[in-house]
Amino acid sequence: MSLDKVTVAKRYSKALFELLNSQNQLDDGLEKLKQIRTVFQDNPQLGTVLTDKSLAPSERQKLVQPLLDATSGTIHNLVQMVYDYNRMDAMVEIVNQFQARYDTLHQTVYAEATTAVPLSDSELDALRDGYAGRVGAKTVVLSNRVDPSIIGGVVVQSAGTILDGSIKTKINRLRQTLLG
Amino acid sequence: MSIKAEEISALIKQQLANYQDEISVEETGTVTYVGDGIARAHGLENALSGELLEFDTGVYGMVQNLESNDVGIVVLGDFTKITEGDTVKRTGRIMEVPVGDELIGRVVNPLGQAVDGLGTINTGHTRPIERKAPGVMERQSVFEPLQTGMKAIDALVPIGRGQRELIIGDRKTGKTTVAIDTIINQKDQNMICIYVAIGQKESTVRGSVETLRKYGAMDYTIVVTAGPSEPAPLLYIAPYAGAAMGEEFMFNGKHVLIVYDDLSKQADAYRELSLILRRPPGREAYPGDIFYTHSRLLERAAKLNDELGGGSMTALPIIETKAGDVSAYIPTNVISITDGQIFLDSDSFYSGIRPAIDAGTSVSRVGGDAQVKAMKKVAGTLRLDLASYHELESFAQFGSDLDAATQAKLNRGARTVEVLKQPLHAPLSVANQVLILYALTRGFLDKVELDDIAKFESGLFDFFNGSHKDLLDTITSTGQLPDDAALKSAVQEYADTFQPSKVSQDQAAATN
Repeated sequence: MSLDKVTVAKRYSKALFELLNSQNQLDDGLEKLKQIRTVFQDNPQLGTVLTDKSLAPSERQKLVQPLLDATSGTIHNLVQMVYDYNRMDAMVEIVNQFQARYDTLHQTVYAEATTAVPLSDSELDALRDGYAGRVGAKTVVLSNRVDPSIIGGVVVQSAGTILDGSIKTKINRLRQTLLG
Repeated sequence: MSIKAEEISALIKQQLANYQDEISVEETGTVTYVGDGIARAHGLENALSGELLEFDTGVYGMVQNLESNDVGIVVLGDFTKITEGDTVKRTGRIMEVPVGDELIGRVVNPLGQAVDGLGTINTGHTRPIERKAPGVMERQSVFEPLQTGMKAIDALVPIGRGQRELIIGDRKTGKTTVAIDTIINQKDQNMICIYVAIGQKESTVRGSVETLRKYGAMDYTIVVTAGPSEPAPLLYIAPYAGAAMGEEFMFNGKHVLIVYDDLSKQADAYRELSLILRRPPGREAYPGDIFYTHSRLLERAAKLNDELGGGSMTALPIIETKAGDVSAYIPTNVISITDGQIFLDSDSFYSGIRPAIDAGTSVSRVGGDAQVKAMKKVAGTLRLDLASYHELESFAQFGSDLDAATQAKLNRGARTVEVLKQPLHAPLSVANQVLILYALTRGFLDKVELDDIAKFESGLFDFFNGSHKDLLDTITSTGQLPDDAALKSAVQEYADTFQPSKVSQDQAAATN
């Protein structure tokens, strides 16, 4: 049974992360990886074309060459290796997993705050600090989404958890208390 | 009636006082696959095996597989409204069903919700559907009898309270009937019955419920049903839900009889969801833990010790075989788990021997200790008699000249088979069973024509009810056989007055 992309990506990113960490090149590496990810995201078919057999090997080589030329050192080796092992379609996921590891190391959390009205910068800062204290993170990258249907309050959604302080949810709970 | 605004507002205030304004914290995951009653979700990193999850649509799911990147979930309800990308929340609870007296007389689905249209059931408390079975020290040996009301079972394969007795046979051999008749016979026996219908046609379940209601058995019965149109996970959890309902009574010192009709369908449902969850298939494509699925369920049947109230739960699992093949995977598994089996034979069924119990292959490993003493005395040699009769019967077909002893044996055998026949939904009391078997083993039936046995039997019961009720009462109250001379003379008295429906040539010749 072939492994799924996430499993593969976790293994590659772990090895890459440990290697770059020992070379003290984490920040530099992440920047380069993000650029590679942009290339793959801009050309959604690139990953599959480089993995499956729809192109002749020589033409595939031509496609991957610019990527190899543009990189150097460990990242160059990574691209070469992922290409050799036919895992180019997992490239985006490898970078994602790498970034997840990087974020864990630097205690960075990404979160989305949903509010009924747009938040001002100072309010966002206060929310950011409060959330950082609650989850024990150094940096919180917070984006703001406006959804009038929650009526009021804030819903902070981060990977795997939802902190729900919206009026809508409170009303629903109140209803359950009264009816249940 | 006037609406009392003050009372109502006081009630609402009281409820509101309990309301706490807090931010809800929920762990979530994202659905990545949905289909055939199964969902997979990324995230949910702290989810526990067996935990209940809630989907956006309000449908609940149960965690089955914990894998490195995702979680396999069985959906307990309508999965068609769940889409890829939906969020799924942890609830922190494990799967539970409502339990309690309020369920008695109701028909519910495996989640404990009423499906009989008689309104919602508010029991107030719940039990987890999966529970570790009582251990060694919490049990005691089976010693009280469970009367099925069927002569063939109570005489040959007696069942004790707390036993697990398998009912096995091909389709259309009367497996469900044996179970239903047993439930009907539990009237006034201080028993609570639970009938778990797994994958049975809705019309069949309706018929069974109507039968139970007609004989007044719904007053002490709970019916749990998961029809064939329900998704496989509901069929899979149905017996566990039924067992949880039964345990509530058992731990309160009551006696429970639970029928799982049938476990082959539950195994099929579990195979289905296991294959979709991508668990490796084993023999007959069943997953590796199919044995554990059944063993942990049946192990929950128990006779508790006196410190725990001495309650019991007797399980009658049903297994359907294909063309009499008991060596298939599921039948062998369940045979080895249970304390004996009642084997129903389709050939006997069609030749008119109903209940079609095969005395040779049916056994009860612990029920003998629980059998009423009087019954033990009259039924002691029955099994051997039947075995030798069947052996002789096949030989006798070839030869015409038989010696008197063989002739007598064949004669007695044919009458034994006839006596063990019983009509539908007509369970007999122990006293009556002992009486007719006494008449059989003491030779009172040897001169009665085969066609007259049923008539003799019903007449005998009427005669004893009218003239010798004390003898029947002795059996019922003490469990011992009454004074042999008295019983013998009473039966003789009836046999002498018995009028055969027609005088046959043999008898006419014999009297000359």
